[in-house]
Order: sequence, then C-alpha cells, then structure tokens
Amino acid sequence: MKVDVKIKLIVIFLILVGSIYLMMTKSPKLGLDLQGGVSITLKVDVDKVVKDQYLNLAKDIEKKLKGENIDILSYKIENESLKIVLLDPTKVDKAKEIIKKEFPQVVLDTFDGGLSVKFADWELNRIKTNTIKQAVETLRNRIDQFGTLSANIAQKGKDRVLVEIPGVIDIERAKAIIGKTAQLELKEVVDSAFSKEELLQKYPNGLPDDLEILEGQEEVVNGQKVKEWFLVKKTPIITGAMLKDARTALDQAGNPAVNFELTSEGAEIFGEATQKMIGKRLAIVLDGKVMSAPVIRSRITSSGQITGRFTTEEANDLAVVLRAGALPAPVSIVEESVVGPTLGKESIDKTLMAGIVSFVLVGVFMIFRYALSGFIAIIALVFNLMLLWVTMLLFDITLTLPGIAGIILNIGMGVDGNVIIFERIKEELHNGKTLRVSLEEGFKRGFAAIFDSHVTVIIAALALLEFGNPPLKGFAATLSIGTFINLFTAVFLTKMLLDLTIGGKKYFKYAI
Amino acid sequence: MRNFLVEPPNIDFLKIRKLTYVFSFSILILSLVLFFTKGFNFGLDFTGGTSVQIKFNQPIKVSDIRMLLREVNLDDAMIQELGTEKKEIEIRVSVKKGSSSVIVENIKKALDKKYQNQYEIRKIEFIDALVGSEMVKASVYSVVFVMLGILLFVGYRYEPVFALAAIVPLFFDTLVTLGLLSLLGKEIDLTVIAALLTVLGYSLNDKVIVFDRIRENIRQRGKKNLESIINRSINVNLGRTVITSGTVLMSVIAIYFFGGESLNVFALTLLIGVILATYSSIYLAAPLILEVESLLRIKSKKQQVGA
Repeated sequence: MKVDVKIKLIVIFLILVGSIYLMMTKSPKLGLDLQGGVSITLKVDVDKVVKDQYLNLAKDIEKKLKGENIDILSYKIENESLKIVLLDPTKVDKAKEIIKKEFPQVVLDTFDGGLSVKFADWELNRIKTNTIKQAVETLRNRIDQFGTLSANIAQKGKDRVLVEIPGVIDIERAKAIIGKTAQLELKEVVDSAFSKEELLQKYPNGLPDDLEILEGQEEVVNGQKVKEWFLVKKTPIITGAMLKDARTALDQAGNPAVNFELTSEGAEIFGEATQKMIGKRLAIVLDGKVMSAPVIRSRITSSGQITGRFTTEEANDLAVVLRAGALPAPVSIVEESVVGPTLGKESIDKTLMAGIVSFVLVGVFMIFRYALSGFIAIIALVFNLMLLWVTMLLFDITLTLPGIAGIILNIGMGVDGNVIIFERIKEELHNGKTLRVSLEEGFKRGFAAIFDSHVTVIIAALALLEFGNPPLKGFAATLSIGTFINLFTAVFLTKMLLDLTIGGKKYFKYAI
Repeated sequence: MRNFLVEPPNIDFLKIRKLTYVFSFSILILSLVLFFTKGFNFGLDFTGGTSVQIKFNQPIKVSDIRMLLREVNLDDAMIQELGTEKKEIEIRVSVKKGSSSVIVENIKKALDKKYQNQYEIRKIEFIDALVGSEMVKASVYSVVFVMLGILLFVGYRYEPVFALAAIVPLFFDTLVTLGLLSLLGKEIDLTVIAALLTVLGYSLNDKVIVFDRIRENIRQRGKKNLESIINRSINVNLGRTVITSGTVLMSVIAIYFFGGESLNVFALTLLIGVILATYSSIYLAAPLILEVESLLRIKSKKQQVGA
C-alpha cells in the first residue's frame, strides 16, 4: 500500500469516527412540520410608519420655515410624498433653500406655489429597516417575558417577521400576544356621545385637523348594549414609549385591570397636562380603541390604570405586551401554520420507511448490476448520507419534511454519478480494454459530465430559497448539500475504494 | 440482464425525429389547452385560505361532516379525505370566511355536536390571499431563474447550440408535467414547485450526459457526420440514461408509496417529470442539436453567398 493511500484511509477513518461521535451526541434541529408547533408570519405595516414620518417631517419643516418668516398654507401626503403649499407663493425658492440645508434626508421638487418633499431612497430604506428590526426586537421581548418558550424570531423578506414557537401551546393566546400592536396612548377628551353622528353634527364643516373620533368599548347598561364615542385630540399626551412598568391589579369593582407606571420624563409631562385638565376626561387608548375615559379629579403624575372587561389572563398578557413595548407599526397575520405533535411523528415514521425502501431498492439494483463496484458505490452513498447529516448537525440546519424527501432523493440521485462511471467502465471493458485501463478511463471521462449535472441540480435547489418558506428551505438544503457532497463520495471515495480492492488485479469476474 | 445495453443497440433514433417532434408538440399543445380549459387545482399556498386537518377516533362519513359544517355557515368548505382509513379529513375554507381563529372555532363547534372528544385537530394552516399571489409570482420567477441559470451554464460549458437544444426540452418537461397534473386534478402547492425545479435540474442531468458524449465524439471526428454521431451517442448512452432515471425513480416511488399524504403530489410530480425528462433527452434534446446546427449552417452559407 502506498503512503498517500494510507494517509487517505486514515483521514477517512477519522472523518468516520468524528461523524459517528457527532451523530450519537447531537440530534438535528427539527422543523415545526416535524416536531409540531406554531409558525406565524406577520406583515408589518411599514407604509404607515413612513406616513407618520412624513407627518413629523411636515411639523418640523413648518417650524423651521416659520422661524424664517415663511408661512405654510396647507400640506398633505400624496403619492408617497409631502406636498406643501405656501401662503406666499413667491417664497418657494427661499423655502426650498432652507429645507435643502436643514433636511438632508429629503429630495425636493417645486410646483406652482409650493414644494413637493420626498424622503431620499436611503432614508426610506433606513426607516423601513429600522421598523422591522424594532418589530423583531419587540416580539422577542414579549416572548421572552413568557420565559418557557424557545421561539425563533426572524425577519422574512422586506416587511415580514417570522415567529416560530415549537411545542404545544395555546395558539389563540400566542396570537393575541404576538399580533397585538399594544400602542398605549393617553389623549385628552374634547367631547363624547353615544353615536359617531352626534359628535360630527357639531362640526358641519368637517372635523378640525387636530381632532379625531375614537370608538369606545361596548357596555351593557340596563340590559341594553351601548357604545360611547369620543372626540379626542389627535396628539397624545403620553404614549406607551414613556411606560416604566405595567402589572396586573384589580380595579375598584374587583375586576382584573392593568396598572402602569410612567418614566420620570413621562410623569412630568403627565403631571403638567392633568393639572390643566382637572374636571375633564382622559381617554386611555389601546391600539386605537378607547378602553376607558375617567374624569381627572386631581393632578396625576406617575401612574394610571387600564380597565376593561379583561379576564385575569388577558390582563396578564396585556401587562406583558405593555412592558415589552409597542410594535412600531400595526401588524397583521398573513401566514399561520399549527402542527400537532402526532402529525409530525407520523411524518417521520412514514418518511423513514420510504427512505429504507428507497435504499434497499437502489442497493439491490446497484449490487446486482455492478457487483463489487456496486457494493462500493453503496458504501460511498452511506458516506454521502452520513456527511449530509453531519453537515446539518454542524451548521444547525433545520430538518423539515420536504428536507427528508430531499435526503431520500439523494439516495436515487446520488448513485447516478456511479452509474455514469461504471457504465463507461463496462463499455471500455466491452471494447476489449483491461480492467485497470477501463477503470481509469471511466473515472476520467465521467467526471466532467457528473460535475455539470451536479451544478444544474444545485442551481435548481438554490432557486427554492426565493420562497422564504421554512419547509422548502429544508428541501433546498438537503438537496444541494447532498449533491455537493456526492461529487466527492461518488467520484473520489469510490475511486479510492475501487483502487484498493480491484485496482491491482488484471481480471476479477465480479469487479463490475 | 447484468450487461443489458452495455453492447450498444443500433437504433436510429433520429430517423423518426419528425414523428417524435409532432408527438411532443401535440402533447405540449394539449397541455396548454388543459391549462386554459381545465386549469389547475391550486393548493392553499397559492389561493390563500384556511385549512384544518382533523383525525377522528373512528371512521367517519364526509357527508356527515358536511352537514355539521352547514350548520355553522361553512357550506362552501371543501372536505377531502386523507389516507385510506376514512379517519382523517382536511377542511378548506376560502379567505373570505374570515381569520383562522374564527373558522377553527366554528369547526370545533360543529364537530362537537356529534364527535365531542373523539377527534384531534392535527394541523391548521392559514395563508393570506396576498401571500398566495406572491407565491405564484415567486414560483414563476424561480422557474425562469433556473431556466436562465441552466441556459447560461450550458452555454458556457458547451457550445451555445447545446444550450438552445437543452432549453427547449426543459420547457417541454415542465409544461407537460403541469399539463398532466392538471389532467389528474392534483393539488398544486409549493412542494410541487419544488419538485418541478428539481425535475428541471435533473432533466438537464440527463441531457448533459448525452451532450457530453456528443461533444467528445465531435472532438474526435468533427461535425461532418453529425447525424450519425448523435445517433451513436444516444445508443451508447442508452443504458446510462435508462439506469440513472431508474434509480431516481426508485427513490421517487418509495416516497410516493410510503412517504405519506403530504409528499404524495410532490412524488407524483417527480415521477412524471423524470419519465418525461428521459423521453425528452433522447427524442428532443439530442435531435435538436442537429436542427440548430443545420439552421446555423444554412445561415452561414447564405452569408457566404451574400459576401
């Protein structure tokens, strides 16, 4: 035996030992379709955030221009840009100059009597990326608060967040925790009534810009369902961002409620505002809905209470989401998958059976057609599958149901390389060449075709990543990794083993 | 058997190529006609909606379930039996019927009337209509991406002639596979797209092997007698073409029969695709090299005459 063959054998042996050790000590990360669990994809309304940012920008620009004695007649957001109309149309150029200098994040355009302001692409990107990042962060906070869950939270595409929670959980509760924007706002009530129309009647020319109408909670009074509507100031006094803490408590009637505490900055603002509001009502608004609207009796600084008709669990969950912070924008569930544990177990059992059948069929055929060489190809195939498994373990690649299908396909596709080489060898033998020469020819000529065919399969597998769908990703992973490894096992490993067994022989009946 | 096809047969595959072109073209057209007349049974991944998979303790009748669902206003729900035991069903409800929470709640309410504590909800899936249409787009993009990738790769590794001759059969494989799935009324979901892409990559495998031999023979003997070179290459490679497809089919069949309900259409797509790919390697891809080559030759001759 030559020295380099010895080294190769030692390397292979070491890989084998290492792989077996790894396979015995570590098990693969299973996808939710195999172990059961909940997977939810949320779409974050980034457009709303952009709109809000335009509103803020409008206020900033108004302030700045006022300082330079330029008054704004009106502004509106249109076609993803801010249209500003000036009181004095002759000042457009001057206004443009000022905005250009003070707001580097915008792109400017003028029209008759006004300006059109647009965020630069990089600024838009920054806003959107930040929003998603913040959403991921907030969701992680919320789920961490529950402690027991080991969730995976990740950005998916441009405006989505994927939340995966393994194991059996209460889906509806999970959805309530994840899907709630949890934006707490405290707003000054201007007026209230038991119908929207009643409130609108007092404003025949339409509502002023700084006011809005919000819906209250439905309540049963004297056996009748009633709902109060509130006319409130748009700009909140306090938002959830100024919360220091939130925890469950009981309200005066002994029902579950959530007590919150403000940060020192918040307390200062709140104290000042409530001082002026004594006798007026304060709307406690959660996600755009008025939860309650108590009358302010005295100056309040640091704490308040949210009441509603909560169950203890709901109050508890609300406290959690308030503590974890609001999502930067409203979210909606666009994809959801709940898999029970029995289904996953069944899938594993079934595909295991399919794998065994596939292996036996392919194995019997290979040994029948190619005798010893076929047997060696099967050993190489086992190596192929083992290394695929080990790669998944090492890189923590999630094994999914389609992923297992990919592994099974690897069995049938993996021997293709060997078939191509072996058929060539048979052909050369048939043409009267010796075993030694045929072997060399077969491997030499086979390699180019095998390489080309492997590349095309990998191209196809990579395209699957486009979908961002976790089960399909699993398929793409096993198919492409298996095919890549196969290039080595089907060609180099097989060649080496063949050299070792029949390489020196001039003739061996069952060589191939 | 052990050496079947090692001695290359001497079949004149190219002789009947006009016939096979007509045949291939006809089933291609038939497939396209099916696309537009019968259409596809698109799965949840593409249509959006809610799907609930339920397993009962004892065999049940779908008609009973339908009746129960009618009482909770889910009369247009699609109910499909899974497996052969008549114990498991999938209920599908369109997006219009509301969020999955509401639908699951209603289904539970309906089933509890007759089967309380005798069933288990095994899987719930909800896909927004928006996501569905995105998936359709992504599917089309990915197929186009793979075709382009393959075209470029083959064009780079071989001559552009080969790339052209490879891409036409790929269209054929994809479209006819889809046509058959339409004919059989099988549900098209994302795993089917995965299978189609795999077929694309694999189909090329098959063609590359024959192309490789043609290239080898051209290098040795030149392009003069291209028709006999191609014929010879197909014949010599016939064993390889059949066996490589055969081993893949062994895996695919194992998945089809044992892999369970959710991989069923995936396996079927691969089964159809691999068989078609084998056919198109022999009867489309290789002969097309001849056609493209002679087209080019006529063109260059004309140019010479013109000059």
